[in-house]
Amino acid sequence: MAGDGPDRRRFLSIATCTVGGGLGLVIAAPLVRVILDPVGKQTVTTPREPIDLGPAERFGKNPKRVDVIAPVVKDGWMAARNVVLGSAFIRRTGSGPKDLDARSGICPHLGCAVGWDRAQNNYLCPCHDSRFAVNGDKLTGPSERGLDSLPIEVTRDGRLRLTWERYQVGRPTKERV
Amino acid sequence: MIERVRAFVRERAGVRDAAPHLIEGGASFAYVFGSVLVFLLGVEALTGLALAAFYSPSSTDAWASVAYVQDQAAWGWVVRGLHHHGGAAIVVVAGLHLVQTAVAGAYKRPRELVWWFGVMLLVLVLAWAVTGYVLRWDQAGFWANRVEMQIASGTPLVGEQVRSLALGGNDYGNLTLTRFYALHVILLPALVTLLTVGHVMLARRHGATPLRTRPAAPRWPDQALRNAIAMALVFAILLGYVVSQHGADLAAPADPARAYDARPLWYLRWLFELRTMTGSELVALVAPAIVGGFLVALPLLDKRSERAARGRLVWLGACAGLFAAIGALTMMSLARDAADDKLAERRAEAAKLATRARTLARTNGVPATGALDVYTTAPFYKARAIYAERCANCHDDKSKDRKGPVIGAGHGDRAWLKAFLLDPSGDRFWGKTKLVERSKQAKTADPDAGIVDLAMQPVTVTGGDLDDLVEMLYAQSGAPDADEAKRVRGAKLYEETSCNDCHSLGEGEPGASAPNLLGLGSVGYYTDFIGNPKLPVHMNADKSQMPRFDRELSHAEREALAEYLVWLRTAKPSDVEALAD
Repeated sequence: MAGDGPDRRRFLSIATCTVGGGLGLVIAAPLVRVILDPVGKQTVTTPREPIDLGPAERFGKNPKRVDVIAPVVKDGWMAARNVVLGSAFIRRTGSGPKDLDARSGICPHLGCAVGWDRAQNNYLCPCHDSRFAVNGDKLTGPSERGLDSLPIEVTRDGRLRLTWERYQVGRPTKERV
Repeated sequence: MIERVRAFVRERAGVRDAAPHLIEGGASFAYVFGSVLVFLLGVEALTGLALAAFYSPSSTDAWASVAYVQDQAAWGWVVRGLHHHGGAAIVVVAGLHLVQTAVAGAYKRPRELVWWFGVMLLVLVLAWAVTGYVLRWDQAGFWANRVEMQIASGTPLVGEQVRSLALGGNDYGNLTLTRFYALHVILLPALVTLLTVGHVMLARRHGATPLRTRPAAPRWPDQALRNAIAMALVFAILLGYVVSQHGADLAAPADPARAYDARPLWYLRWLFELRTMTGSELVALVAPAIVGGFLVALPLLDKRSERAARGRLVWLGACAGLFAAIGALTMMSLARDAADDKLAERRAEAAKLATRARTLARTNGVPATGALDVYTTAPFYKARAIYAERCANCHDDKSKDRKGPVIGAGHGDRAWLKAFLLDPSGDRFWGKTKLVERSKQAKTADPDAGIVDLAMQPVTVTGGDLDDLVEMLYAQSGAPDADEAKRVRGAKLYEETSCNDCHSLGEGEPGASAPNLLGLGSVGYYTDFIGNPKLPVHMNADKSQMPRFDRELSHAEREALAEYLVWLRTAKPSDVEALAD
């Protein structure tokens, strides 16, 4: 290296910044990548497939509350078994083996847990007194829509299977979360 | 542009451009060690931050979360590897820094404080590594920590309290992890940062001990470039090593019930060797105290201002001896392990277990009940455990006192059925049963009595007919690949060749003298059969030695076993072996 002039200083400065900056980028790459890893990834997964609720014949005309239990919920590294996702109300709508109706137990107003009011024969949400008819229709109270129906199917051997869904609350229309 | 930003900050923050720092004797690669150490500490801080974003310090989750970063998060293994091996790099570079300082006599007046801060930093860095090693909660970190805490508990008077304080109680658990985590990510980083700031400030205050008589040079950019090059070089080596090792190792989850050959991190190996050699845990406690004490005392012992090596041979010799001893002990320990074949076997076994646990964690997730339960997520785990305990003795090929038909890969497939029909008393089938034995005995006792065999006789049909008969039996299992045309022909043969004289296919209807074959090889059939083989629909009491299991095993357990048997039908021997690994 020649002399001690400003050119040499300038060269050394640029060289230092280049080496240091390059090093910084090389270090930053894996850090940024790993921190971004969970972004847009399904880190918590509830089962998309239908969940068994037992023999369909056990449900009658009056709504029966059942816990919807996922066999496995994956959460990051963990696989939790038999996780209660929520509850649903099942009732028989006709005499055919498949004439069943399922309603989510989550109030469409603000997401409280709805209960069945045996005295008045309708659903009552304890939070803001929203009431829903036996078929799920909105009766009174602040809720903007009726109780959400949930997809169900009856298998060949007569078991009821339900697909658990959650819907946006506080809206007049039913939209999946 | 840069000049304008600088002016903006200078005016508002009141920062003035300091006079350029000058390094007496000029810039040198000899002065890069401190900078490289600060750089490596920065790498540890950043990688540690990223890892903390994934880590869960609980005894059920810790291992699983580490395995997640290592095996599932994108580039997680790089970050974890940099963090783990970066810690080792700090110890190495700090060691070199210390040796260099000692050789140069740079600990002498007025730089004693710099030296002492440095020695304290070295001790803290080692403690940092120890607290980090246990966090992974695998067999390696867990057992190493057990030994370390055992040694610590040998501290006179307060040993037990020290151990209890560190563990957060009487035994390893959640509180152990939260404590070591707090030490590792909050207390130790804070202390190291404070001491590093002090160390660097004091070092700057006194400047370097001039090496040569050359004109002074500014720190920026002359020394800075050398520092940057050294950092880049060290990082390149570190990264290369991390890539070659695919991050850092991770053993099977910590299991207090499963022994493991505990070894400390390699830079503490010398203490391990001392302990092994002397058989005394106190030695492992006293030795570091002596080394630390010597290093602290060095500036006080070697007080003369003489810096040239010739005048300080005694102290240089003492330092050299110390480092040589530590190096030799480390080598001895590594050599001892390398020569131990039994250890190598146990390590291979442990590595296999680690691979198994990590593969299961990746594919099935770790149960919420804890990392050790990851093994239970293996396919047919429960069935195989029951099989090993209840069935293997009488049914496994490897069992010395097998009493029944062999159960293994291909059980109940077409080849198996065919072989059975052609030789029911063959060794693989009824050959080892009392049924065959009793027939033989009766015949030997009275060869002319015309005793009918108790066991089934070989079928006489051959060729395509035999295949049809096999297909008819095979179809009983409900296997989706059964050939319907063949099955129908087989069903006719079943009657024509008088199978139904002894057997039955009616639901719940016992055969005249042999099992009902309805659903043979299906989950329902096996579940029922295992429940009670002595029922008339099955083997009947006079023909079966096999005990009934409906009182000992629940329906779900028998069904699990049945599902395993059904799986075996299509499994290859290598598939069964793969399950065992």
